[in-house]
Amino acid sequence: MVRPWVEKAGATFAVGVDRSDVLGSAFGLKAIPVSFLVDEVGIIRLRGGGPSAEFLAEIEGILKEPVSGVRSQPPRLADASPIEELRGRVVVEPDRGGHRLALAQALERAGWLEEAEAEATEAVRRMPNDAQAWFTRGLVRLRREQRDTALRDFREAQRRDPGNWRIRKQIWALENPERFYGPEGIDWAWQREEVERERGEK
Amino acid sequence: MFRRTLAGLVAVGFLGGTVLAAPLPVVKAGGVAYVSARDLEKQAGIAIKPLSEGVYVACSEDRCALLRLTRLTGDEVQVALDELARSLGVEVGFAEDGRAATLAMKAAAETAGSTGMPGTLAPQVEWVGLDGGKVSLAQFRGRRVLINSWASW
Repeated sequence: MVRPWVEKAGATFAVGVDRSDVLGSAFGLKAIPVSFLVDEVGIIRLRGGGPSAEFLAEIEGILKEPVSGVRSQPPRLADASPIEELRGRVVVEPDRGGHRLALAQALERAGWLEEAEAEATEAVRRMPNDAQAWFTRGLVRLRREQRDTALRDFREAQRRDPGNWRIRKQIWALENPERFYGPEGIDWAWQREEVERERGEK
Repeated sequence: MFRRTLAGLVAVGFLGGTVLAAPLPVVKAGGVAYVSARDLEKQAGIAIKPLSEGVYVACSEDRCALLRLTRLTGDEVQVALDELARSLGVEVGFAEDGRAATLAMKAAAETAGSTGMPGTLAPQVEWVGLDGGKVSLAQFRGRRVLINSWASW
């Protein structure tokens, strides 16, 4: 999915694939695209949407600053601990949904999908109202090519976080792939119609 | 906890704090003690960066805090020591004449990790690259990095 876009753009910068929604869950992202400028110290200096003239002007302003010699240690994300450490936390507090979710995400990143799905299920059981838990299990199931059950999980996530555009678009792309990956590219008019239709149904 | 030495300097015993550097020059204005951002960076390893109008962020090796009580004298940014101490978790010991201050970093509280908001430290993040290798923010440490999160939909 990503490679054709990158090749078409002729991008020479590093491109990472965020299959397990690391940024989304860490930063509570509701919509993308989103950009972050991190300076040489390690500080997040800017957070913005698409490439607006204002955002680009802010970036240029920061690039003109003198370079600091200070370097901060980046904090570790809750789910970035080694898998064994996360397993240990689950052993100590087996009913804490957050530990289960962090372990599920780490297992998914490691490619251990069956176990990731099991842990995500435990997370959903313990945090039934947490959209991220449902979304994570959906992502794992999608990777396991379980489209229908993934879609059910995404819908459960959407019910719990209806303003989250990442979840909405994931559902749209799964149910209507021709509106995203057809020869004409993304059908933005269709998306606008869908939003209007949903508004009319409320 | 402070003790005064016979030489008139303050020998400071910080409980659990790591002394950052030799004493920094202090400027007083309106009853507030300030130190320069340049001295903080060069001598104490604390970076002071502008965030928005009137708001700066101070970052040490392991934490950041927003500062609002700063002043500009010419091109120089000066930071209120009291706010720095309170916000960043720094203990301040003043020389007897009040013209210098020694800083010590208190132990950092357990942090919940980054929030992704401006003025906080970017967390360790890594992804799988298109070539199957690893792409991490750490490999760009010391450089200014623009991260753009997007999707094919």
